[in-house]
Amino acid sequence: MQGIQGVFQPMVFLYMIGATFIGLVFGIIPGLSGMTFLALLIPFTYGMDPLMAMTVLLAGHSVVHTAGGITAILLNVPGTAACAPTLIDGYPMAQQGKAGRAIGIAVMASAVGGLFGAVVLIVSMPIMRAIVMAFGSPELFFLCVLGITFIAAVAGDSLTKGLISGALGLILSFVGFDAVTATARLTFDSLYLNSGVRIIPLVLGLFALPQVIDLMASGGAIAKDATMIKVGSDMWEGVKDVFRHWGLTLRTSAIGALIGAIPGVGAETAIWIAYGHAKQTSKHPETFGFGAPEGIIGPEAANNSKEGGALIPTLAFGVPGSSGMAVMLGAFLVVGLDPGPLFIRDHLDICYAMIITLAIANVVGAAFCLAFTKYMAKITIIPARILAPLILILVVIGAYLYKGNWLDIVATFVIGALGYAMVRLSYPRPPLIIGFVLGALLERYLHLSVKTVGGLFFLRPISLVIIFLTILGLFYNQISAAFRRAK
Amino acid sequence: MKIDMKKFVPAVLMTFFFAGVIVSVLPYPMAAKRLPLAVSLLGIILSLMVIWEAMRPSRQPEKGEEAPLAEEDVHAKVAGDALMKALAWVVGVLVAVYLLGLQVGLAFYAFLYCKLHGGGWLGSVVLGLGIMIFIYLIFVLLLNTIFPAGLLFELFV
Repeated sequence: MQGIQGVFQPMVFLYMIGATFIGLVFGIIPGLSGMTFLALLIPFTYGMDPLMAMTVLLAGHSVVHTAGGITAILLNVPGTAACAPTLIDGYPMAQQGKAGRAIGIAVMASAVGGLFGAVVLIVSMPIMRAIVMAFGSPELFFLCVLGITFIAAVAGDSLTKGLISGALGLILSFVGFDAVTATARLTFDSLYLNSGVRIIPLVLGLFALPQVIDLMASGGAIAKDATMIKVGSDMWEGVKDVFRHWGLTLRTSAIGALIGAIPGVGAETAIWIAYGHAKQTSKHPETFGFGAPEGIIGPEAANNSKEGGALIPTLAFGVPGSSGMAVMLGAFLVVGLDPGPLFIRDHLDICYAMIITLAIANVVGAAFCLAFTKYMAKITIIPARILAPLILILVVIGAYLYKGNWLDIVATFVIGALGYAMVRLSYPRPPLIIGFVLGALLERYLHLSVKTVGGLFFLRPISLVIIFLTILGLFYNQISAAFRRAK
Repeated sequence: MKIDMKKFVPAVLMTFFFAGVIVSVLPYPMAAKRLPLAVSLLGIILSLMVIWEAMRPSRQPEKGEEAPLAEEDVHAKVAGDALMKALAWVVGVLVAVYLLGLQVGLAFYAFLYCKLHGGGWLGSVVLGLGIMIFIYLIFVLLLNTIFPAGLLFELFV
């Protein structure tokens, strides 16, 4: 109850509304994603009360896809990658002069999906908590390993590259004083490195700087001028469409939440399955691709409900349900929260606050979009020569604000070079961040396991199950490809 | 034998990196070095696997072997001059902040970037001034943040 009440404190609520609006802006601009939003805002949550910080970050992150559908419909360019299926039917609808209706469908489906995700999360909390209480240090150690390997296995085109990225993140987490022996590791006598690699320069450098480089290099703007953005007055017709197809809306929301809850099985899987399901169950599948309302309802409901699903393993086990959740775990560190499997036991109030935030942000985000779509869409006219330096400035300020140390800015740019190199060489970045975040916990649980249980701590039954799941996750791609071949 | 240099070179660098970590952590107590050693050994094995992949004939990934979890960012495939200029501008902000301090440096940088990328004088000046005012109001006045002055100001003012 304390967590829920905390969300409704005036300042927290105000910040949440502000973050929701910023999240919508990030969603509507192609090239700026939920991960970029988190990377840029995390530094500004340093020093905030943990509940307020989590509320702010989650509120913005959870509505990014709500606004992303608007750009997909109006300009045939998805605001976020998860909104790609929306343009299949959304853009044709706009070309038929029904852009307002398409936007109404997208926004309301997103809101319903988001609410569904929040309900799934709140129902699963007591079950997850009971499961986590049964875990000891060995199980928690292997859960951390599971988290890193799952993300590594599915976050990129190559399993080995994903694991290398995770290993690199772990090595970065070892820099600084070791908590057990107080040994200064990999510091090379540098005073700066004595306190370890800092999470904010890491997140900003890895996710925000490559985005800025891309924006500067590609230049231009998404919409050439305002005449490309025409929103009609039939938005409420679209809202009603979602309730006319309430069965489809609920089913695709369930698909998103269920798939989102499986760590490593990502956004694209959920939304395309939802789109496929919408087409298969439609009375008029031949209309798909030409402006079918169900073609928008399916993916939009799923891409918001999956956020609630992704929070289940993130909060319950410290295993991120998505790449965005991997970055969110970094945010936990910044505000002084332990991001591991015991989070749900030690910070249940914050868990419930996050659930309520998810629900409120989706409703408020939908209301903003319905009321201000015409004006929000004009954001896409902003040219890169204004947007790029603005984002870069936020990166520099964010890096400095953390500890007031000029070297943090330098570290951000060094890590930014690494982040950009990783993008160009197809090394996925989420495993690095999750390796970094879980590294300290991994070491702590290993030490405790060896001390309390002994060297054969991996032979405990639950640990063996988790090890089996880890191996399954490592070979997920090969197994699913083999199943497809067998069909 | 055709080597995929895009895979080969980074993998070789990673191998040396992990080997360097092993050498660095060897003097530490066992409790401090066991996990870095284990992770680095794993890193070397994985890097050698990538080196091997780079040296054998390329194989197209089968349908279904593509990553199910793509990153949310969509990066444009930019290269050549455009990329070099972008990198130079990104490094340039560091130089601007170091010389002029955060407030003036960032404002000047925004003005210069906008002006040299097709913005008019008025728009560029408004952008620069707007950023300076924004930083002052939000961070200096409201959050009481003290920003470094910059080398040129420290030397001459």
